[in-house]
Amino acid sequence: MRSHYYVPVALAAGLLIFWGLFWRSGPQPLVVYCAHDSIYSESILREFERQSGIPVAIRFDTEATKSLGLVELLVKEKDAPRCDLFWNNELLGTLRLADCGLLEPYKGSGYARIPGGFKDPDGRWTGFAARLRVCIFNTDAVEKPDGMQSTPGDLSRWAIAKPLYGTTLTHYSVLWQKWGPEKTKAWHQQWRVGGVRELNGNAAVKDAVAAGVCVAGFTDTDDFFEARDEGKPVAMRPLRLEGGETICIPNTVGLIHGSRRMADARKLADFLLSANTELALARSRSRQIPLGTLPPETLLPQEVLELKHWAESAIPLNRLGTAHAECLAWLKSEYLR
Amino acid sequence: MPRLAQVGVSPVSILLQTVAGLGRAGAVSGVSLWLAMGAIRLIASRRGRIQNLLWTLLIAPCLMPSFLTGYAWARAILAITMRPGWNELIYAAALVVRLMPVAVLALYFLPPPLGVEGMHCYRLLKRNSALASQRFFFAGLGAGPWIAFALVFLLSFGEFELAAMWSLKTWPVVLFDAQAGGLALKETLRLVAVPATVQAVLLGALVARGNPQARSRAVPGTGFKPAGRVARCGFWFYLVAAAATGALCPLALVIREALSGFQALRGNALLIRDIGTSLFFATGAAGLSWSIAGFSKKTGGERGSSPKVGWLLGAPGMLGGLVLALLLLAGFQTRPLRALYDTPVPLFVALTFLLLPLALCLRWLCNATRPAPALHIARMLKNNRLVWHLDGRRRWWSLFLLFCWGYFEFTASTLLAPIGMTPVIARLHNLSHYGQTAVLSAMICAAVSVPLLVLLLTATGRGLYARIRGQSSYLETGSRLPGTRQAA
Repeated sequence: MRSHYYVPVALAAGLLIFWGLFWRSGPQPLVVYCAHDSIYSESILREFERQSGIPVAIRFDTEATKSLGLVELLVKEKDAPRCDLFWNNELLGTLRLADCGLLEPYKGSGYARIPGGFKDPDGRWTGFAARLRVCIFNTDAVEKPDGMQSTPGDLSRWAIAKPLYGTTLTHYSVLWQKWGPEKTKAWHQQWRVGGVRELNGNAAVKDAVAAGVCVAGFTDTDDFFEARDEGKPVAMRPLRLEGGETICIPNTVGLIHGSRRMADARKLADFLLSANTELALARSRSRQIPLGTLPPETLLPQEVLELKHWAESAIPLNRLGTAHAECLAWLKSEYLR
Repeated sequence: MPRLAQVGVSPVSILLQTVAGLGRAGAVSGVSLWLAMGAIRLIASRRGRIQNLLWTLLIAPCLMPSFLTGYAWARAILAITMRPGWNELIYAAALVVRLMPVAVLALYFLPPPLGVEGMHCYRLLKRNSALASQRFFFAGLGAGPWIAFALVFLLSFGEFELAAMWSLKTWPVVLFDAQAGGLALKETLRLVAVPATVQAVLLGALVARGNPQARSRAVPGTGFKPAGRVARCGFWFYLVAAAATGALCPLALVIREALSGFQALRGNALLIRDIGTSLFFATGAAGLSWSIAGFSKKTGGERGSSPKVGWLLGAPGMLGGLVLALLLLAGFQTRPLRALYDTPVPLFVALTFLLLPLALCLRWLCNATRPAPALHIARMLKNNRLVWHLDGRRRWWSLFLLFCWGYFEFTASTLLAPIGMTPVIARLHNLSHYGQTAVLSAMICAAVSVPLLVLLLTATGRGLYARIRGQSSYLETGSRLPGTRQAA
């Protein structure tokens, strides 16, 4: 056999040795799957790393798939999990993992400070640092945004993200629970017949409205603040259901059943659910709403205080499980044939 | 409750998107082939610096990473995405600009077996039989146009990145949504069956016509009728416009945006690590695919390459990043392979398979176009510098192309990268969530400049090595030429 037959084998072996020496050296890190935007979450996880001395390896999601990408990966890996802790940027995916028995119950110091409506009674997941579902308007195109939310007709300059994942799926699931299947389907049909633009994600909705391509759309508060900080002509109103309830979507944290670093994962869960982390996220550009109790002298940004006020009338999401499953099954039948 | 389809709103279906994709790919391939046939006449009729300039203009949009193009034009495209007809048109035009060079290369290296004179003589002889003349005309074109058409068709049919960034509903995007939306792998594979069958049929057709070496013995770049003056002007205009819209403008837009963001990159260890990860995977996969492509050639024996083995090896890669990554994900989740799941192996395997079709093509091109007699003499003389100029240089360029392709691959990198190893393209995609920002633009510039740096460093190093070795070899071999006696 001539020498060039060995080249692929030698190359592959060399690279794996290189990987073993340089990437796998040192202590095994705590593996975190993180669906929250890396620009905000990474600094927090690195801070934990710095404070605790526990190395953290993070797997982020991409914008195109968002949280369900990681949820699906966790489901696929259930027989041999490599993730220790899941930081989701919404709730429904976490509920699914809990239903599949993939989350380990834990009620630590962080769990105790979060109100009952935003955590699992069994401790399998806990919510923190939330955002609101809102209507975003282009102020150059819309003078009086109030009342637009319920206006049917030509909707070709309205935008919404694909409802198959992310917070738009939560939005649909809430409607499914509140209105029932028939009314939700009719609403969806009315919007599609009206020509609503379905875009890749909430960021694309924000961009379309900020650029004036669409006059309004459904997105989340963090996206709205992105646009406003860039000086775009945008305003927002919280999305309200008939009873005046808002949709407040928390980040969630869950420990993965079968984790080999459970003690470290618990430390990180408590760190994430601490007042400090909630404050850091509230003061970040995404203005996440703190859900837990804060020290009395804490100063929150004015905008976050207003969001916190709206969040008080939020519809409880921890009982969405069935509605979510049914709604997603229907959406799949409509979108993915 | 009526289903959506009954009230006139079409749901997104794989079948529908496959049909639409077929139409789009057919149009893109047809237009690309038509343009390529004109462009090749212009390029083949020029020599020296002008020809080099034409090649540069032609290839530039093809080499520009899809991510950079999509990112740079994102704001402009945003307005167009609201008009379904227009966004389809712009997308198809972008595909033509990116893929037409592939058709030109296929035509260039698979020239018609008959020259212009031969065709003319035959027409004179067969003037009385239109049918025979027509049949001869098609035979006279050789395999080039068919292979060019099929390659562009396959690449445009499976395109994912631009479509996803520009919010278009194509079958790979729908499939990606399906997977992300929690569909079981079995279901996803069932959905992919239709487009995969289409691709398999095309691949089969390519295999049937895929031994171009046996079909065309003509010298590459010959046998093309020179373009007329009007056509020349038209193709010059097209090439300049394509290079401007597909490469120069996106690059300029990103660099302009990045100027104020470079400061923020100082000490960004994470970006450096991600770039390192991408280099690691791209280098390994490029080397592996190139070696395997060489291995497949050896199995063909002394006569040359074994096209069947080659196409067989290349077939999985032609299925596209998504399907291949999903299959590998499922494979590495099975009990015997599970231990390898959280290692670089799955991504190496995926990238190697994805690069193999290109590696096979490049290997074949290198072999088909090398000046064998001159190379033989250079090797006899042990003149490394000459060997490098005659053969090594083109092989090195081929490897570099493979490296770039692997470096910028997104789908498989996202799905199969092990924990703690994020390829830079995945991170950039993630950050593009925030739209165009100075820091992200600077990060893109940094990520894109790395392959250029690799190019510069390796080219300089190799050039120096070849120069030193070449000179010394020449001096050494000067007294040992065949037929001469060695000094005691």
